[in-house]
Amino acid sequence: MKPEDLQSWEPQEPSDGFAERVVATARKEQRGPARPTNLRRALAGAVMFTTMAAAAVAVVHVRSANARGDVTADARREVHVGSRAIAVLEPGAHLRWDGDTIEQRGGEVFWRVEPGARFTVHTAAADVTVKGTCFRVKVRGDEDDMTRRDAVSGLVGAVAGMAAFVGVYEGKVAVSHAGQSVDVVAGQSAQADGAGVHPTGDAASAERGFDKGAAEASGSDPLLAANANLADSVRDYRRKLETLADEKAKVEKKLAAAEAKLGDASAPKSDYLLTQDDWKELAKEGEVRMRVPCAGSKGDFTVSADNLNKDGLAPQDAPIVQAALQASHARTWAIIKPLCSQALGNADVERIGQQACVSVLTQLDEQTNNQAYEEAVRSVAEIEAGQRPGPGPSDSVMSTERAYLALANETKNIQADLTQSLGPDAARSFVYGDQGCWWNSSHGVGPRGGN
Amino acid sequence: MSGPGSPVAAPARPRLDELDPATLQRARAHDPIAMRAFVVRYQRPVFALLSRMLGSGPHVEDLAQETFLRAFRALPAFDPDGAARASTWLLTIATRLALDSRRKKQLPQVDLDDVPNVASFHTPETERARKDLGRAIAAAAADLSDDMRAAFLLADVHGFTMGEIGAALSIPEATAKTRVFRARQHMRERLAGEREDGA
Repeated sequence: MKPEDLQSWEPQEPSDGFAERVVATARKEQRGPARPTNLRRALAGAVMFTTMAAAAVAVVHVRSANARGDVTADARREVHVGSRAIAVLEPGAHLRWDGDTIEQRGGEVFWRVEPGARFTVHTAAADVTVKGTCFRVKVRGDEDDMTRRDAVSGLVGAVAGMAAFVGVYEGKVAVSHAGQSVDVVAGQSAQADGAGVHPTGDAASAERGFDKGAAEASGSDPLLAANANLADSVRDYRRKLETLADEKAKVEKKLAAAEAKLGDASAPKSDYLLTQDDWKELAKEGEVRMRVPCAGSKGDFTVSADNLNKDGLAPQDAPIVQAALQASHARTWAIIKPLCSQALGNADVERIGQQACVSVLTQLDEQTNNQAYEEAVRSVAEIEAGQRPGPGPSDSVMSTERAYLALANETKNIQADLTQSLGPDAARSFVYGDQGCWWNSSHGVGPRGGN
Repeated sequence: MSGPGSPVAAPARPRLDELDPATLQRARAHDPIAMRAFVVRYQRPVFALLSRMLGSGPHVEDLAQETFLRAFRALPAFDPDGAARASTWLLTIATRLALDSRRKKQLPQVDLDDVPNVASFHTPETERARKDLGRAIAAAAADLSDDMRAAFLLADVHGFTMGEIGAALSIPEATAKTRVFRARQHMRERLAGEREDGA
């Protein structure tokens, strides 16, 4: 018996609408009537701080299992907060509570709160009061700013430079500071900052905007800049100037080494650097390979100077690289997003993004007609190999074929973009190198006719 | 048929892409779109495991639903950025549910070679040969004990490592290796010449 023979043992396929039924049941369970032995999980939320705080330390102390505590997590951990809440702290999160007074001083915390009296999480930027079920809060600014706000009284407005984003999944929450309060309902969001509290519309897209702002905040916020200590800055710049000559020498040495490496014709070849002949071989085996950029932890396609340096690029190349990666994502997402949205009943697929969408399309097409899906994969490889023309805009082809074609073409597109600005060697080095966030994917269905 | 001592089967397909950590995070926070993406992504391997463990029928969908409901309850404790893959975690839940149901005799005995009808583009001859082979594999697997069949499926269909099989079945890794070895040996013996004869 050969490995592929096991595929002859056909499994039962999920029935139509299975996923929808499961999700409906799960959501009903999440917000449904109380179980006799358990309190209903009435609220689940995530509270995030994006901070410039120092590295996390271990738990400081927890004076009581419930009544009061002061915890900084060095790894994900769960703590009971008061009698109604469970908080899951991400690494670096700092939480302090005493009875009903809860301060989230930094980091990211996922909250589950059972129903009862009003429940409020105090942050340096705003107070978030639970009125319903499920929400997410992100706050940016320095953790030390929490000490400048009377979190207990709630009478003082947001600390300068702080901003809070609140996105609601289910039910309703109130976001307030300085006497202003905005109710936010499911699917919507609000932001609290120096200008007050204001609704920001769709939660998913507003959250991305907030994240982008957080990444830029420390360097561009005029209020933070005004608060900076000038003497410290001057001292810091002087120190940087003193070390600049050394850094320059090191960079030049690394650049020379990288250039020598780039000039080496025997540089290892990436599995995703495919010539038309390579594609012909893949077409014989019914395999496609795709490599596209992903957003990375900051969500904005940035690549650090250190990582660029490892690929032989200069720090000043960062904006060029970032723009090329963003343009690449825009090209593929423009094709994949409508296919995914249609497949999921016109859902707002911005929430799940490109990688999950491709996974969804693959699964649905495989499930709908596995052999047609396999033909679609072979077709993509043959198109890339130049053995057949690509489909026209109005041709009827499987969603996966259009999605895979978009993705399979993208390494060449990015390489072409970067070649214009950086030259062919640097472009190739980066696109097929190990630096940055890349999503590599391969799908093999075997040769046509089996075996 | 492979020769004596040769592996009967490696994973039939390479491991599939996992759902990305950001979508898993959103599913943890009960985002319905992400929850749906989670189910769509993993429903086929869950159905495949359960139907090959227990035979096709409505009980497979019931257990598949229970698998996902348990997963959603436990998702807050699952680390999307950790070493464990979501598929391994989910198929472990499904395996344990299947074995528990069998032990509690909650499920009727169903023929594993009751192959569902699936649309096919093969010629009638190759399609018949393929179905015959599928039935022979199912019949051979039906002779395995539930624990052995689970170990075989997790190793050779779903690509689990021996360590992952041990964790899924709550047995030492060495025991997992033994079970997979014996299951493969049984399958080889039962299917000797099957492909040559049938194909």
